Amino acid sequence: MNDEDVCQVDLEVCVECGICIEGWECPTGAIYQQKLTGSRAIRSVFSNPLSKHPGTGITGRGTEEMKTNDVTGRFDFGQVGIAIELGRPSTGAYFYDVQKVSRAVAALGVQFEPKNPVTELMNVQTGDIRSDVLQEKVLSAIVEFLIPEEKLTEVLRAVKQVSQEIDTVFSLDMIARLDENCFSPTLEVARHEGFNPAPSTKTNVGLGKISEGKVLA
Amino acid sequence: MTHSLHRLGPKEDLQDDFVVMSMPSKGINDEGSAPKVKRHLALLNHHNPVNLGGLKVRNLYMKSAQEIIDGVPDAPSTFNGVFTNQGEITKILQELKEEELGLSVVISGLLETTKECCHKVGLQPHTANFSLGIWGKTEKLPEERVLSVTTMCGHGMVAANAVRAMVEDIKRGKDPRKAAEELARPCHCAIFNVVRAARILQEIADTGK
Repeated sequence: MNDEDVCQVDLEVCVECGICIEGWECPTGAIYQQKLTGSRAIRSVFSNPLSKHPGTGITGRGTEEMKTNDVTGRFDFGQVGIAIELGRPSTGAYFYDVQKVSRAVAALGVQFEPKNPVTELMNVQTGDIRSDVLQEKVLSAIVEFLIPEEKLTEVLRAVKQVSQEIDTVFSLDMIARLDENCFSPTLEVARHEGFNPAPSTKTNVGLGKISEGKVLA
Repeated sequence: MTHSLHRLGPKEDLQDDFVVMSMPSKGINDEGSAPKVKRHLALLNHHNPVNLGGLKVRNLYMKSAQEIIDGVPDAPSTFNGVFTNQGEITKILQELKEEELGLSVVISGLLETTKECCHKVGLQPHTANFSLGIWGKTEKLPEERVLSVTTMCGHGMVAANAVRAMVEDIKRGKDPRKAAEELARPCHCAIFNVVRAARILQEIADTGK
């Protein structure tokens, strides 16, 4: 058999999500997971949801964010959580593009989420990402941070600007506490800046309780 | 990760797409949470979910509901059910409120509907995560309706090419529900809505877009 008759995974663009093995069954066993070494190992952490990140302690590539805000109090009234999910959907992202975004928002003095795996790779003062991973491609990487509500306009403008400087896409999330009418003033700010909030949201309905004997740090 | 946010599609196409998620929080209420999560999933299972499970236990298209429930560990992970009917969401919220499991619960779906369901049972929504869209080199994205299917797995485990292949199979006579169930298998978190996916796959097969 000639080389041209053989199908191969293109390892440059493969993000090591593992789904060719986990989700589908290869009838001949031709697809296998090679050992991931050096900086390449980071691809799996950010691409395969079954990989547990040592920093966050949870599987998946993000954090608990607002999913548990009713018990963590991570986001309060007057604060806004922003997550910039580079590579999502269906595109993937190199860390050099992640760095363009993290640098742009670091310059505005945002508070990066310490439990986020991208933050662990970053100088939080400058937004610089560890140089050894810049050429690694992942399925998605989330730049996640907290800002006071009065900074939202400035941040959204910077996010829109940097979106024109990257060679991939990102999905943009905005987290806020809701009033009794399920409204947040952040929606008006976003609309004013040319963003169109989708009708579908993730909503924490407030049923969480802190276990007896536990106190928030 | 915000894996159940950014489910793309027009508002009228999202009327039958709701994810109910529970999550114990690390260091706050995750110790000894397994029985509560099992109860949560069993409760969801009584309301005819079209998907059920989570990263730790997989989904209805890889395991039975009982295997999923039995496999729940003590872990700060998400556990999910997918529903197509607003009425079921109201009933589920009422039962979860009465059970007082103490787990954080998140509804992904139309905010108007979530608000209505919550208020009917006397719950005040606490925090929302809003999708402000997709930015950057959007010309790299797959076709819009293909994206409506792939974005039902927020971790990106459902590939655009797999969706296109299923559409071709449907054109050759494959049952769209079977095609949707095959696409649901790689979505580890069990948030892929097979009813909505089957409808969109048939639509793409019929219209070519």
